[in-house]
Amino acid sequence: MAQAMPPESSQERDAAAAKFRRTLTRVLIVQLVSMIVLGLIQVYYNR
Amino acid sequence: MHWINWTIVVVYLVYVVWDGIRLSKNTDTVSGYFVANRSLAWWVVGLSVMATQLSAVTMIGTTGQGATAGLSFIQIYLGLPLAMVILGVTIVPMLHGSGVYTAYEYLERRFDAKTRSLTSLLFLLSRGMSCGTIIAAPAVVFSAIWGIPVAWSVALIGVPTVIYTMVGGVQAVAWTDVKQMVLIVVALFGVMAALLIQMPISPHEGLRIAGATGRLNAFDFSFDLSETYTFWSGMIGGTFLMLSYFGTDQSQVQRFLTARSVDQAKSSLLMSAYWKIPLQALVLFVGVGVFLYYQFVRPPLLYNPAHESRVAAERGDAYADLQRRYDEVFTERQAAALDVADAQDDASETAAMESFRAREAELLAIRGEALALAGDVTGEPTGDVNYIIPRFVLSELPLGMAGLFIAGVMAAAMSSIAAELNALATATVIDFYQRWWRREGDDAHYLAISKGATAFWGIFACIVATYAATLGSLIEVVNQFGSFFYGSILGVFLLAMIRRASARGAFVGLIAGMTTVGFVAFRTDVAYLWQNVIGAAVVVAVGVALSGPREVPAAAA
Repeated sequence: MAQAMPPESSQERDAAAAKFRRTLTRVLIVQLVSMIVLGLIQVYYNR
Repeated sequence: MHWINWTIVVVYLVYVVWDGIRLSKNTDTVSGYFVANRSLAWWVVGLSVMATQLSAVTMIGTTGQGATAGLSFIQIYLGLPLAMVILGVTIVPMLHGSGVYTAYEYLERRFDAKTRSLTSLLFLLSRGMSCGTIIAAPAVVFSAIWGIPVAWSVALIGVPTVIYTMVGGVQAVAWTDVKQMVLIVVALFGVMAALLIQMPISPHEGLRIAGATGRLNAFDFSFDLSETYTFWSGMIGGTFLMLSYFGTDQSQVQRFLTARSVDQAKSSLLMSAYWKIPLQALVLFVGVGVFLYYQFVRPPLLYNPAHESRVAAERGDAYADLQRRYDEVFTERQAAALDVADAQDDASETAAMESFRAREAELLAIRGEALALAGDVTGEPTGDVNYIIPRFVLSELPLGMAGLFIAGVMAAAMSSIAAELNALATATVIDFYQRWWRREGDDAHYLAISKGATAFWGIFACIVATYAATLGSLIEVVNQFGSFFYGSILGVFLLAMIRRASARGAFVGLIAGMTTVGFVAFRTDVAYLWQNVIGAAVVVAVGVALSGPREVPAAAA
C-alpha cells in the first residue's frame, strides 16, 4: 500500500521552493485585495 | 410552499441520488471506494473540499448572522489562505505521498499504533455526533417552516445522502459535491440578484444604512483574547484552526487523497485559498441584504413560524400588544431608514442616523420581549437567527427562487454529510476493522464492510439529528470535547515532521495538549480560536521535551 517518495535533487528542491514563493505571493495578493475591499467598505460607510 | 418550488426540490433530490449511483463505477475495490484510485482532477477535488466545508449551517445560519451581526464573522477565515499554502508544502505531500487511506494511518507509520488509534477514535466520536448536528440544523428549520415532524425532514435530507454515499463511495461523493457546489453558488447569486432587484433603494444607500448599524464592520483590530471574532484571532487562531481542519480531519484529508498527484492535491486546496473569503463575503452580504430589505417590508415579529403560531394561540393578547407596538416602531424606523438614504449633507445624515439607530434599538427590544414570551410558552430555546433567511426566501422571493434556495440548502447539507459519512466509514474500516480485527481480506470483503459502516454511521447520524433537541446538552459536550483535541491533533502532525520526536512524546504530548485545552476552556474565557494555537503548541513542546535527543524514528514509508 505504501509508496516511498523518491529523493529530491537540489535542482528539484530549488524549483519547488520557487514555486512555493510564487504561490504564496499570489495567494497573499488575492487575500490582501479582499481585505482592502472589505476594509474600504468598512471605513467609508462606518460614519 | 408552492408546488413549483416543491418540484424543484424533488427534482434535485431524485437527480442527486441517480447521479451518485451512476457514478459508482470503479468502486469495486477498497482503493476505488475510499480514494477513487487517486484519479480525480484538482478542480473536482477543490470543489469537493469547498462543498464539504460549506454546510447548511452556512446557508441558513451564517446568512442569518450576516442579517443580525453583519460581516464580522468573515474574520474566522482570514487564516485560511495562508493555512492552505502551508499545508501544500507540509501535510499534503506527506500524506498523499505515503499512500495512506486515513490521516491517522500515517501516525502509526511515524509513531505507533496507540497514537493512531486514539486520534482516529477521537475523530469518530466527534464527527459522528457533529454529522448528526449538520443534519439537525436544517431539518429543525424545515420542520418548523413546513409543519412536519423533525424525523421526516431528517429523512428527507439523510436518506438520499446515505444511499448515494453507501453505493457510490468517494467517487459519488466528489462528483455530486461538484454539482452541489455549483447549485449552492447559483442559489446564493440568485438570492442576491433578487434582493438587488426588489430593494427600493440603491446599493449605495443600502450600504449607508447597513454601515449605520455597524453591519459592515468586517474587521475588529482589538487584541482581546476573550473576543471570538477579531482580526488577530482570525489571522493566528484561524490559521491553526484551518491547518487542523483541512490538514488533519479525515473528512477533508480524504478529499485531497483522491487527487491524481501531489501537485493536483495542492492545487485543489489552493482553490479554497483563492475563493473562500469572497464566497463567505457573498454569504454574509446576502444576510446584510435581507436585513436591508426588511427595513422597507415588515418582517415577522418571530421568525420561527411554529413559535409564532403557538404564542399567538396561547398568549394572544400579550402577543397582539407586542405586534401593535412592533408595527408602530417599524413604520418609524422605515421612515428613518429612508431619511438616512436621502440625506444630502453631513449634518442631516448624522441626525438621520441617530434617529434610525434609536428606532432600531426600540425594535430590537420589542423583539427581545417577543422571544422571551416564546420561551415562556414553548420552553424551547428561542434564538431564531436560523429562521430569518428561510422565512425571507419562502415569503418574499419570486416563484421558483425559493425552491432553488431550499435545494441549495439541501445540497450544502448533503455535500457535508456525504463527505463525513465517507470519512467515518474509512476510519472505522481502515483504522479499526482492518488494523485490529481482520488484517487479511479481499476487496469484496472490505467493500461490504465499508458499505455497512457507511450505512451504520448514516443511521447513527439520523438518530442523533432526530433527537438533537433532547440530546442538546450531550451534543454540546461532545462538540466541546471535539474542540479540545483539534489543535492537539495538529500538534501531533507537526511533531511527525520533527525528526527527533518519539512515539512516547507524541502520545503523552497529545494527552497533555487536550488536558491543557480542556483546562483553558473551562477555567478561562479565552476564545475558542486561540485554543487551537494552545493545543498545538503544548503538544509540540511536551512531545519534543519527552523525545530523547538521539532517538531518530524510522522514516515513514
